[in-house]
Formats: sequence, structure tokens, C-alpha cells
Amino acid sequence: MTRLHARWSVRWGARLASGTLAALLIAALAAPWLAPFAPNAQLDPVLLAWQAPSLAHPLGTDSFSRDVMSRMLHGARTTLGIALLAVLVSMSLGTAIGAAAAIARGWGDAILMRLTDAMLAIPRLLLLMLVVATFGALDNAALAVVLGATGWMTTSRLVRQETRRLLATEHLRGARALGVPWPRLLGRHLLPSLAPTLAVAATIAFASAVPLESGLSFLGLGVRTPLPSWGNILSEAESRPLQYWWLTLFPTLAIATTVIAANRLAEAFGARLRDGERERQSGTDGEGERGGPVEGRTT
Amino acid sequence: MPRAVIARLAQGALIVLCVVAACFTLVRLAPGDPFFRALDESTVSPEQRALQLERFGYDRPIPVQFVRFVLNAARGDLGWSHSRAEPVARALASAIPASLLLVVSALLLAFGVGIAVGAWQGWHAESRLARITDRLALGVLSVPDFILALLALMGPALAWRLFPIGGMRTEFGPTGLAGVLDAAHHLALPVLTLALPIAAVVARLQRSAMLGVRDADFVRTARARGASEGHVFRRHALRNSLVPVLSYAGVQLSGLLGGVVIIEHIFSWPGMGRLIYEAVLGRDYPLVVGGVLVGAVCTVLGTMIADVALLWADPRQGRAP
Repeated sequence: MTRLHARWSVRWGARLASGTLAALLIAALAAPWLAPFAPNAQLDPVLLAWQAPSLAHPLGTDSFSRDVMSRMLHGARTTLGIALLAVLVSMSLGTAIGAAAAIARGWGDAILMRLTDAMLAIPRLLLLMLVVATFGALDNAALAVVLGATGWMTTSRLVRQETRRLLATEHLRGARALGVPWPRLLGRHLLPSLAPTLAVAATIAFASAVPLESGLSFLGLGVRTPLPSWGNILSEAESRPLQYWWLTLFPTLAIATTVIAANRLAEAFGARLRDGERERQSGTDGEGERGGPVEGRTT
Repeated sequence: MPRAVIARLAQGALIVLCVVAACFTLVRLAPGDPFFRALDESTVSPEQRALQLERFGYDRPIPVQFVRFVLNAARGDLGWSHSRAEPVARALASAIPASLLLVVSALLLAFGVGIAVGAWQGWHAESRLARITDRLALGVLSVPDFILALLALMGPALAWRLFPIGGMRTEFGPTGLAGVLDAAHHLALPVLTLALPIAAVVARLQRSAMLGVRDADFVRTARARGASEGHVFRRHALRNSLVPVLSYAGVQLSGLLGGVVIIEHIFSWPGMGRLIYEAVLGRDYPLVVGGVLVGAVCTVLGTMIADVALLWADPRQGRAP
């Protein structure tokens, strides 16, 4: 009864979450057509600065009389675009490192995993700040790459564990015994089986990339104004967050909604992954896995 | 157990060395030399610049610089902060106590509340309240801490004026016991915003661990031999369910130290995060590197403390190879 209830609510939660994310992505893609004004147009710096939300400006205006709704829509492009690119980078790095560690075993495995531990020991935001301090202002593509390059560790751990499990299955052992060459083994046999794990890792990576970029931009170290991002719109009202509440509230809502939806989706993917595992274990072909090196969990 | 502890110490030292190497490489990859901001005036002659580079040892071969950097760092000398005109170690030492107060209070609060709530949720998993609070925890853990901080600043601090909006104590404020209360008043909002998301994660981990342990054989055996419900809960169920939560504590510390930077910025807390932020704005990278190293050492130490706690909760861990 509770199981059924839980599964039902997971499914609806996941639908709501993916719907929200899809709507945000569409809004970001269609920003030039949806936005009522140009994001950097200073409409009337004397009369229209700091306007509270009204019919003409549903989300108000900022200190330069720019329309906040237009900036939020274009900011979604920046924020979500950077986050997606960062996820792409961290997924590629994490998959490569995790799979390499699982395949290499022994010394190679130890070195790669100690590297992962060392990266995990550095607070990510501090590392990003160090990069900004040494290289100065980063453009958006560089910011995304750096975000990705500091966020692959979770992925590599998940991928290593799953690859070790997969390499011990009948399917991959059979493929290796038949002499399938390594590139084909990786591309055709390993990677498709890794896809569910990668989906979980990607949503987790996305959910952590959005607040990091926003936080950096809020501090003035990420996306540079006049280019809008949710984080730097938030910092516009930093001196008086309560008086100019619309400049704080709407970016806050946008960031929180995105992260909550992404986490919810990760949760749903994870639940499906666990369900699949349970079925596999209770099913008929569960024998081959138990003997394999699945004990890697303790590391 | 001592052997396991020594192995972990060695592993931690290795990780710190890796972090030192990574920071050093990153800084060396940067364009220009460490003085390019401070000495980029037309009045500074090239000879003067070369003299300064020689004085700070920036003209030597990279490997020599690296060895010197590591040896100096091991002695507690982290270099010279160009923006604050004082040794990096002294600048950090003046800011660390404030951050430590913030982080330790947040950790204690988060793990105390998280473990208590999660254990209760797992033990009474069928109750409606447990399910509702679990949903709530999922919502809370998804909200980035700086968003929580801004909301806390807007509501309780600015609109309702219940808490001070920033700083660590009132200027020319009370001393003695009243001073401690004043500091606690200032501490409340930053600690709450740091602790809340972590408490939510801990509660969810603790809940699922408790669910796994609740129907285990050893719990049933304890009940069968007539142990009281409280005894079964504390000695058997709770202690065994602590394992995943404690192994998560070390990882959490690293994220917490990142969050501290933004929280200290929002609440004008005079700690390490703010110091590092100002150093980034001044492009004072010896100071930023020092901050990153302190953060890494804290994370490694925290992980080790968590590991020792893990050995206490589950002595079998020490025997595993």
C-alpha cells in the first residue's frame, strides 16, 4: 500500500519536475521572442528606475530602469546554458576517469581515485575563486568549462562503481571472451548499460552547477554585468534587498525552482535505478553478479 | 585500530600534498607574475621589479619554487599577502576563529538535529508526520544556502527586526555574559542558514539507514531477550544506523566551507570566507592559495575525525583491508 503510494507520488513528482525544467528551458530558448524589452535597454533612467512590479513591467525594473522580466528571461539563457555546458564537461571527464579506473584496477585505479579524493577535499567554490583570482574575469564558456572541470568527482565515483559491477556481468564477460575489441566493447556494450547511472549523475551535476554559477555571479565573480544571469540580477538589490524586494524574490524563486526540480528528477531516476536493481536481483539472472567485485562500495 | 588511523593519516597527508601541487600549478599557469597588479605602475622601473621578484624567490626554477613552497608551508609559512601587506598565515589566523565558530556550530546543529529527526522518522516510518517531514526535508535540501541566507536576511532580520543584519557583535556592545548572548544573537541566522540544508540531507540519510536497521535480525534478537524499547533503539538500532551518516560527514564539510564564503559575505561575518573574497577581488593569490589549503586541510581532518567516529560506531570497519 505505502509502496504503491510512494511509487505513484514519485512518478507525479518526476512529471512535475521534468515539466518545470522543460518550461524553463523553452523560456530560455525563446527569450528573444518572449521578452518584452531588450535585456540591456535602459528605458528611462530618471523616471523608470526601481519600479515595483506593474502591468507594464510584471517583474519591475532595476537601478538602470531595465525591465527585470526581460533580464530574467535572458538570464535563464545564460544560467541554464552555462549549467548545461558544465554538465557536459563534468560528465565526459567523470565518465572517462571513472571507467578508466574501473578497467585499469590496481595502481591505475588507486591513483585515479586518490586524485578524485584530493579534488573532493578542495571546497569547490574556493577552487573556483582561486581560478578567478589567478586568471581574472572568465567569459561564459570558460566559466562553464571550469565549473565542469571542478565537478566531475561524483560522476567518476558512480561510474567507477557501476563499471566494476557491469564488467563482472555475464554480458560483458561474454563479449570479452568473444574477443570484442576494447573501443567497441566500451561504445556498444558498456556505455549503453551505463546510461541510467549517467542520467542520475547528470541531474545531480546540473542541480549543483546552477547554484554555483548563481553564487559566483552574485558575488560578482561569475557572469559579468551587463550580461544578465539569475545570480547577478540578485546582486543588483544587494544594498537594500527588502526595499527592492522584486529584484531579490524573482531570481531567488527561479534558482530555487530549478534546483528543486532537478533534485526531484535525480531522486526519481535514482528510484527507478534501485527498482531495476531489485528486479534484477530477485529475477533469474542474478547469479552472475554476486561473485563479481561489487564490494567496491566501501571506498 | 591504531594501524587504520595511521593509514588514514598518511592518506590525508598525500591528499593535502596533491592539493598543494594543484594550487601551485594553477597559480604558475596564470598570466603575469604575482606583482602584476601592485607593480604595474609606469613609475616602477624594470630593475626594481626584477629586484622584487628575486627577493620573493619568484625568479628561481619552478621545481625549486615548488619544493620551497612545500617546505615553507609545512613550517606554517604560506607566503606574503600583497593586498594586506602582512604574512598570509597571520591574515588567515586572524580570521579563522570566527569561521570556525560558524562552521562548528552549524555542523553540531545540523548533525544533532538531522540525526535526531531522521532516527525518529525511520523508527516511526508509518506515521503521517514522519512522511510529511521527509517531503519537507527534500524541499529544504534543494534550496541553495545563499538563497536561504537572503530570505533569512529579508524576513527575520530586515522586515521583523528580530536579528541583527550582520557582523559578529554589537559595536561598543555589552561584555561578559551579555556579550556572549549578543554574539549568539548575531550567530543565529548565519548558523541556521548553513545548518538547515545539511540537517535535511543528514535526516534523509539517517532515516533510510534506520529503516534498513529497524527490521534487522539483531534488533529482533535484542527485543526477544527482553531488552527495553529504549535500550534497543539506542544501543542496537541507532548505533548501527549511524554508519552511513558518519561516512558522509567528511564529504559534507567541503561543501560547507564553500557555502561559508557566500554566507559570510551576506551577513558581513568577519571570517575566512570574507577574507578570501576580498583577496580574490584584489587578485592576491598567495592569500587565496592559503585559504584553499586551509580549507583542504580542514576537510581532510574532518574526514579523518568522521572515520574515527565510524570505527567507534562499527568496529568491523577497522579490520577490512
